[in-house]
Amino acid sequence: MKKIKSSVIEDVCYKLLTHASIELPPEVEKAIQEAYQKESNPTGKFYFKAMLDNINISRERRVPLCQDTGIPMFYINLGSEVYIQGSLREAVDRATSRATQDVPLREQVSHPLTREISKTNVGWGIPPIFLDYKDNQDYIEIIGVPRGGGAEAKWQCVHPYAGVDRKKAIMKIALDAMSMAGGECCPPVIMGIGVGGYGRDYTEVMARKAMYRTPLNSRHSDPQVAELEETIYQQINKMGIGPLGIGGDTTCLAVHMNIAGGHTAGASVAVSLYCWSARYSKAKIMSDSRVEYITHSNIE
Amino acid sequence: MKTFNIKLPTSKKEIEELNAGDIVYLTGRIFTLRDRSHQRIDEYLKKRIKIPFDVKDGAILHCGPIIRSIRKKEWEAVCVGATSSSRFSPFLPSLIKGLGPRIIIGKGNLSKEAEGLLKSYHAVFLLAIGGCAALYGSQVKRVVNNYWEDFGMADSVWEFEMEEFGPLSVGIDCKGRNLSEYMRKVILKNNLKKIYEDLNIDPNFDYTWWPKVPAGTARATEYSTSLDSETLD
Repeated sequence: MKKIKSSVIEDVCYKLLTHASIELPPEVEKAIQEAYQKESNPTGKFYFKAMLDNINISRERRVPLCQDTGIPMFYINLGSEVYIQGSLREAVDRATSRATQDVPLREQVSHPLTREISKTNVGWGIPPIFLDYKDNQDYIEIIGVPRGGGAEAKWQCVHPYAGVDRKKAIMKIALDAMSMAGGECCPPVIMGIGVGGYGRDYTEVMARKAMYRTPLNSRHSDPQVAELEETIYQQINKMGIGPLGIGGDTTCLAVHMNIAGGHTAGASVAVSLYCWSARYSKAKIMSDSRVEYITHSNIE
Repeated sequence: MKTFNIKLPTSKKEIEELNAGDIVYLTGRIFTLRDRSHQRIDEYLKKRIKIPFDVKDGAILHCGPIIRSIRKKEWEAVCVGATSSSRFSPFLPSLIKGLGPRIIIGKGNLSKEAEGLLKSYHAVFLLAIGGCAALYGSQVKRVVNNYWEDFGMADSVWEFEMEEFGPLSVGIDCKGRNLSEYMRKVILKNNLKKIYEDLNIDPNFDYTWWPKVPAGTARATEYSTSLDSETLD
């Protein structure tokens, strides 16, 4: 078993949060470029152009893409062949606090009852650490997400009747989630769907993690899931909602679905949306502490 | 789709020329408002306490910006973008009647009542392109002032001097025409009909068992106390 120091994790989390706030994953930017090229509604095309301008200004001026720099979230997958020496909590907190000051990120983590504001985006259990574990893996994978509010607020998590056509129920729920959110979730979106995993906590985390899949709009290894993903992706793009709901050909950039075992009396379905400014960054810390940046390969 | 360049403060006449779908660029002073400042305006108007800034015939932006403090009373705008406007619909009557802005800038949509309000007070709702905060932030010529600093960076009120702030599009014009409503009631409605037919999905069938209605709503009270509730399922 190889040791990874918490100081390495702090450094990686800091860079993930910083870069994710300023630059979109290149494949998301490419998807927006493509949507711009093929847009047939002149106003929609105009909107896509403004998005591309925004992406370039952020990159040049090194400022966040969006004023809503989100609640920082970290998804950590710990391999069985490595262990962390030191405090993971402190590493994540310090990384967030430093990124908040340096980027700068908006101060927006607040006490849920008193509304007292944390100046560092750290406090009251934030940033959350979603920890997962994998056997025979000799690295730690970290996804850093500055998760903004507009799209996140439009989540859905419901429990379908056990007796209905399961696939139709999933499609209806996914389509409803999009059509109900409309323009206010800042489309075109990345849609993450979670099915099964008894209890909303698991289902929703599956939906969220699905959004950060690489490559973008790649299909699940299970052909039944892949078929649903493709159908939902195609149909959402026939809704005509378009960029920011102004009308257009592209309403979603990707649809990713994850599944887990459910209860015989039904499987919950969760849908999570990420706005066009889909900010996330992924890295692997190998057992020799070497770091591989997956979404933002330009990070030094 | 016409394009307009408007200098702030504006006038009833200028606002009347705008039609839903037109593109607008604004030059002059704008003020940011968010959840807590809306609440305070409402409270101050009721208690007849003086509000320290003047938005009459001007523009307000639903926004919690990122600002870098340089020295005392000197700031730099980093990111300025619109937040979801539907949160502020309940405050719109007191804001418009009490302070008289002609332009409300945000994203998403406002309530049905808002359309009537904008119509009778000759005001418009402009849509900023959500997520374009670096672009709009680069159009801030000067951060003029900060009011109600006790609310912190995002919720306090910022006064910006803007230069060609845009593109913005007219979401609701002062004739009560609503772009988002047209998108939903005409475009989306027709498209969904076709989509459900293709997938052989009955749009009027309930696939979902729970929740029947979201907790925390008026409909939840109605559901809990009605005979149709299936709480014994």
